[in-house]
Amino acid sequence: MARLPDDIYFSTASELNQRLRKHEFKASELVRAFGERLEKIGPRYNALALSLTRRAVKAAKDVDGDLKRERTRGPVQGLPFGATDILSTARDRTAWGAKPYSDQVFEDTATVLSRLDDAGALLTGKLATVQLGGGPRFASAAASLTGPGLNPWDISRWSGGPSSGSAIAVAAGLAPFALASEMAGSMLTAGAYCGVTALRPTYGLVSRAGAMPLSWTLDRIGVMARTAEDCGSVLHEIAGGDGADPGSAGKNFYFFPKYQRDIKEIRVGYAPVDFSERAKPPARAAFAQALDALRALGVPLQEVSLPDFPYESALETILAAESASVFEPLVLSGKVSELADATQIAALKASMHISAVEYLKAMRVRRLAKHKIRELFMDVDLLLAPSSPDIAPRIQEPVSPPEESFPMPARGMTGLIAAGNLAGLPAISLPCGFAGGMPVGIQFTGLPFSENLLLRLSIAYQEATDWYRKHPPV
Amino acid sequence: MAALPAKRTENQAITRRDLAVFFAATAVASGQSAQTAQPDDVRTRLEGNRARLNAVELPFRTEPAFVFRP
Repeated sequence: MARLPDDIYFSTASELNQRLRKHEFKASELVRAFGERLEKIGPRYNALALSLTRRAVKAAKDVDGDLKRERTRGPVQGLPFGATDILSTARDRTAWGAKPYSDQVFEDTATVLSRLDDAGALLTGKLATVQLGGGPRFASAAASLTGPGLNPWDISRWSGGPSSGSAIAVAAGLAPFALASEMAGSMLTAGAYCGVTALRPTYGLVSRAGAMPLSWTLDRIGVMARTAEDCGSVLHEIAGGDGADPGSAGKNFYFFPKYQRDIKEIRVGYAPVDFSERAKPPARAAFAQALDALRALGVPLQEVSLPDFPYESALETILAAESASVFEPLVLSGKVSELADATQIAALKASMHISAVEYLKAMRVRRLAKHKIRELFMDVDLLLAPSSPDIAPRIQEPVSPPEESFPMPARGMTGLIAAGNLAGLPAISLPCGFAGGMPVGIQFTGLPFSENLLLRLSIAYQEATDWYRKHPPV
Repeated sequence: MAALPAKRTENQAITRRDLAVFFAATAVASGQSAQTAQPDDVRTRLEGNRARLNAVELPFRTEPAFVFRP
């Protein structure tokens, strides 16, 4: 078999699909090349949970037959991809990143994976996650069956998580795209830390059937890829109603960003304080450049700030109460003590004692906050903020802010990720530069089901900048 | 949604009170009081969350704030 050119590993999904259609190489060759790379390099970053390369190569031969006969099935046909180990594949190990579930096997495949299979995409591996998707709270980057997710830009730093393996796989050129999960910022933060694009869809747009439940009213499945365009193409395939997910909105998503309004008419709300005082000094230059790039595109920016609510507290309370219900059998069996993080063990036990009144209080605050956030969108179409004010922390640093840092001063977009998760809003994180050699990112957040608008502006931003082309020296 | 493996069997009858006793016993075994069985940061965070949520004034009115959709 001919060796494929090295430039494939950091090509976009769209470029790879075009080259497949031009018959520059076969899908089976592409899948084998990416799969072997994932097997070889993935463990270097603790990114691989389970290789499925052999099966993917076999399935790719059928896709090659379709491509030969010009039976095209869309922009992900013939492309290899990875998926977080939160998602089940029938009769394979699905460990949820946690020792107590290390031998767990399901009979069904997650809806999103079946949909990508129908579209001709080929799953080469399950990717590492923080154990139990990090819920309800964890303290250390090492809280995973596969070890801490090491950042391909600097292995002394964390990749972010729980979507660690997915972010690493895309950043290190181990897969052109990957599925990941978010309930409290996992995708956006890991995307920014690793310098990849991460799309968190509206709550209910993508089925969670076959995914580990952690918080029924927060859980979401999304996409990580090199570009916003690739994220849109994948979302087109995985979105849609699903009777197997009671949270499904029953809506489809058709990726047509070019029919959205002109970017000069998309009103973007932002708070200057986020880009100056709240951002860590080394990252400020990159954030200032991102604002300049948007202004140069003619995007109207206007100053707004998020309504004052204890977003993190409401989110943590809901996440804790729901995850305690999900994992009650784990706690009662005593196997919770097999988890690799003392804080997570304690948090799961303590969450069992959150009262119904506390949970409902958080849900009522959530509803109130959702209304106030909706009002904010009367003046703007999208909200803009740094995805994270700082670069990826070092592996040994604690991963969540200490209690002393609360309540955070209500300024700018403080708490936007928590607010966006509480309100079920879609968001995207885009690489926007570097600070001390590490990537940083910006996020756009929109109203429910405004993914095409988010993608419209994101694609324009990525056409005007080339940060998404940068990759670590793997 | 994938179901969790059923592992309750003999634990099926465990109540919240039993659980509290379990935690207290664990704490005593490790030389801690029941109140300090959880790491401080977990306890203080839960208490902090509770206080911050309680500080939000919720409107007391007839509008349904939390609903179930059949």
